[in-house]
Order: sequence, then C-alpha cells, then structure tokens
Amino acid sequence: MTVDESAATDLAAVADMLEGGTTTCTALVEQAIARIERVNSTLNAFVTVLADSAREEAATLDAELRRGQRRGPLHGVIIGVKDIIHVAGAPTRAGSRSVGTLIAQQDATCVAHLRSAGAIILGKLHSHELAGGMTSENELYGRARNPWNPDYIPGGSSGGSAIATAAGLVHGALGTDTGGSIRVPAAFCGVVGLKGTLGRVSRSGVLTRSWTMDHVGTFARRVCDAALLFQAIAGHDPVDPYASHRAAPNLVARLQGDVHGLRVGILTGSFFETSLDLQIGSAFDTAIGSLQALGMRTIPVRFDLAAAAHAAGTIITVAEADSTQEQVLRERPEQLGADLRVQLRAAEFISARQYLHALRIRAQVRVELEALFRDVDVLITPTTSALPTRSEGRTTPASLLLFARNTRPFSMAGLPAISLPAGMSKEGLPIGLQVVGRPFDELTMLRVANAYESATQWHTLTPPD
Amino acid sequence: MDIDTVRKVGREVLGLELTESDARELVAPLAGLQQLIDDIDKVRLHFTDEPFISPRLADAWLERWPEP
Repeated sequence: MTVDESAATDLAAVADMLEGGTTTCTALVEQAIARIERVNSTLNAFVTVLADSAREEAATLDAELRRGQRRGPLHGVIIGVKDIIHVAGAPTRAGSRSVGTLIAQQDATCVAHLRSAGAIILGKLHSHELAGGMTSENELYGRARNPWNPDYIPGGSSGGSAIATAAGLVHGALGTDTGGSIRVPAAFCGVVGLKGTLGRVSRSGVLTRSWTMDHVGTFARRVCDAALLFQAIAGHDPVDPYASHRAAPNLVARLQGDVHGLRVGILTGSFFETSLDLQIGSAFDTAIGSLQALGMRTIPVRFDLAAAAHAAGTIITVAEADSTQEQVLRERPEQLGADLRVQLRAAEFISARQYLHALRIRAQVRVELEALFRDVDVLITPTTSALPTRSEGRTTPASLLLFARNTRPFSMAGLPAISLPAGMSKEGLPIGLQVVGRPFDELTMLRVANAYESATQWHTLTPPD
Repeated sequence: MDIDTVRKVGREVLGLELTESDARELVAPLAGLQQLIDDIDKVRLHFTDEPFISPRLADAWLERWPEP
C-alpha cells in the first residue's frame, strides 16, 4: 500500500502494515518521493524535498522495527512541514525573498516531538509569503494549486500542507494558523486541519507573523490522525513564553466517547449569514442534520461581537506582522511581494490607540464566548463563507478578510478549532465544517468532529489523480 | 484618504516618504482598514478590559527573571 492509499485510511493501518512486515519505512519514503516527482510540478506543494535525510531516518526506523522496537503510533509516518517551521539542516524561506537562505540549526520543538515519536520529515511545504495571505501564491515559490482543480487556489497560508495531505504526498503535515491559515486551506483542499487552544503547542522554532495570534497545528485526512499528530506536538515548552503549562492531553484514547446529548451551538446572525455562499449554506444545513441524527442537540446562538472580533483580530495580526517585518519594510521593501508589502505598509497607519483598542476587545470577546459556552459544548460554523476562487496571482485585502471571516474570531479568542470535510460544490471543490471548543477542551471538539466524520463519507473522497 | 493625504500622513506622521505609486496602491487597503477600525470603535471598552495577550506570558516572564 502506498502513502497515497494508506493516508486515505488512517495511521493505524500504516502501523499495522509496518508491524506486520507488509511494508517498510524505506518503501513508504520511496513511494512518497516517486509520487512527489510525479505530481509536484503541477501542485507545487513541496518546496524542499529532504530525500537523503528521509531515507536515513527510514533506514534507522526499519532497523528498530527489525529489533522489535517501535516508538509508538507515529513510527514510520511520513510528514511534511510548512516552510516557516524550522527543520534542522534545511532552509527556512517562508516564501519570501526577504528571509534569504536561512539554514535551520535545530528543529522547531513541534518537529523535534514528531521526530522522536518516529515520524519521518520528508520536506518543507509551500507557505504564502511570511504566512501573510490565503492564496498560497508568492514570487519565491510561485503558485500552489488546489489538487481538486489546479485553476483554483488551495487556500493558505498553509497551502502546501493541505495540498500535500490531500494529494497523498504525506500522511500528515504541520502548519500554522493565525486567523485561519490551517482551517481555510484544509477546507479548500478537503482534509482535516486542527489548531488547539492558544499556547497548547510550542511556537519555538516557528517564524512569527503575530505574537499574540499564532498557533501551530496539524493536517491529516482523518480526524483521529490529526488528533494523533496534535497530541504528539502539544505540551509545555519552557523555551516558549506563550506556551501553556498544561501537559499534552490524551485525546486519541478517548476520541470515541459518547456524543449523544452534546449541545452544539449554531451561530446565527448577520455576520455569519449575509455573505454565506448558497452551496456552503446548503452543505452546512445537511451537516446540522447529521449531527442531530447522531443524537446531538443543536441550539441557535448569537455571537454579537463576531464582527468586532474579526475586525480586531485582523488589526492585531497586521499590526504585529508589520512590527515583525519593520526593518525589511523600511530598508529593502523590494524583497517583499507586492501583496504583502501593501498589507504591511497599510498596517503602518494603525495607531497605538487602535492596536490597543483591538487587544482590549479580546477581553470582551472572551467574556461573551465564556457566557455562550455555558449553554453549549461546542460551536459550529461553515469553515469559510466562500468557495475557493480561481487564482488571481495575488492576495487582495478583500480575499484576506472574506476567507478568514468565520475562523479569525475564534483565533483571536484563543479557542481550539478544527475544519473537516463536509461537502462538495457543484464545481467539484470541497466544503469544510468548523467545530470550535472551549479553551483546553480539544477533546469534546474532536469527539464531535470524529462522530460526524464516522457518519459521513466526505473524508473518503480523494482528488483526481 | 486620497493619494495626496496618504503621502502627507505618511510623511508627517509616520516618517514615510511614499511615491505617488506607493500611495496609490495604499488607497483601497486603507479604506478597508478604516472599515475595520470603525467596527472596533463601535465597541465601548470598560476600564477593566485589559489587553489580552496570552494567559501564560506574564507568569513566564516573571519566572524567567534572572536571579540577582
């Protein structure tokens, strides 16, 4: 069974095959490399393939298996890493000519966790420039393409992670999410994208877009696999001052828990309804029906500060991104792509009062969401209110706002959220369902997502080869 | 803001020397930004609404303060 075929089942099947001797880590790596050689020139998901080091890692892991040693459920799993996350010995370019050739001296904490758990790091994946947009098109790497239809954008900024997972180039991937950069490409490419509570995963070794909004998370084809990868990278890291002190949760063992009677909040109101694409709305209604059929109680709820949360989240993000890139913008702006340069220049016009106002609104948003979560166990929305668009060659400010409309309000509140496949448009493009949990309650969120996935077939669809 | 105002604010407030072309491409994004600012300005803040950054950050900085 190839990586493509095995990724379509779940990682437990990979473990069984390795343990049963029907495949080897080396064979999985070779198959993945062959597939990358065949499809990457079209999709442009991988920007660096670490073939030699992956082969060495595979040989080591195969030798361990022959000795009867197995590191755990991620032993031999093939992983790709968004190119703003450090992988030792590989360049981190973040999709920007401004970064130069920065060879990482050591793994980011999240990569180190996966490696020690037995995962094989196959390479670096396309990122929108400095994680600053949602089309995954930049002047350094060129355009990444949606595996369901290469004329369309894959979403971003973790576009390469979503594409590689959807196209079966890897079993799973790492990405980052500031306002939706995991969930939006996951939705557009028809895979699962998971980010935990703010601080759950260390950001040490990850280039910063926004200090107060950035999250690291995982991609996979199945909810259980995204959770398995997430569990491996979560937990305290003394090097990261933003990291929570809480221990990594044991999610996978309890994923199958009973969902009967769980209260699912359906967000209503003009913010979530006025700009909603009709096909997405229809898929969302069907998803609500599926959750009800599973015995969950759906409850309409209002999130009155949603528009303000979206606006404040955007202001915080671009103001912080502008600060991180201040020197580049002032001294060598020509090294930034046009869309990011304009975005950051505009952010220079945000005043200190406006930035602080946005940060202070976060306190009110948290209070409103805490009150809302007294009546529900999870919230659901469509992941995006719009379908992927045809590639335009650059991110417009309007697309940045539109695609992150349903995701950014929860990023700015620091809540855990997941996107999973929940439909297809008549154009043959995937539609995502977002489930949002209470802070540090990834488990309930994942149970709902897993139950929905088990009751539907959307996760079994794969892009045309 | 029109092009001239963008250049004037850039120069006099932010210390940015923007060309006419630079300023032209900022007009639409700044209009979008102003809409966002209008959205957040509708929210009346309470004195107790302190900037939320990270529940961990303050503690972590204090813990990492070097010993005398």
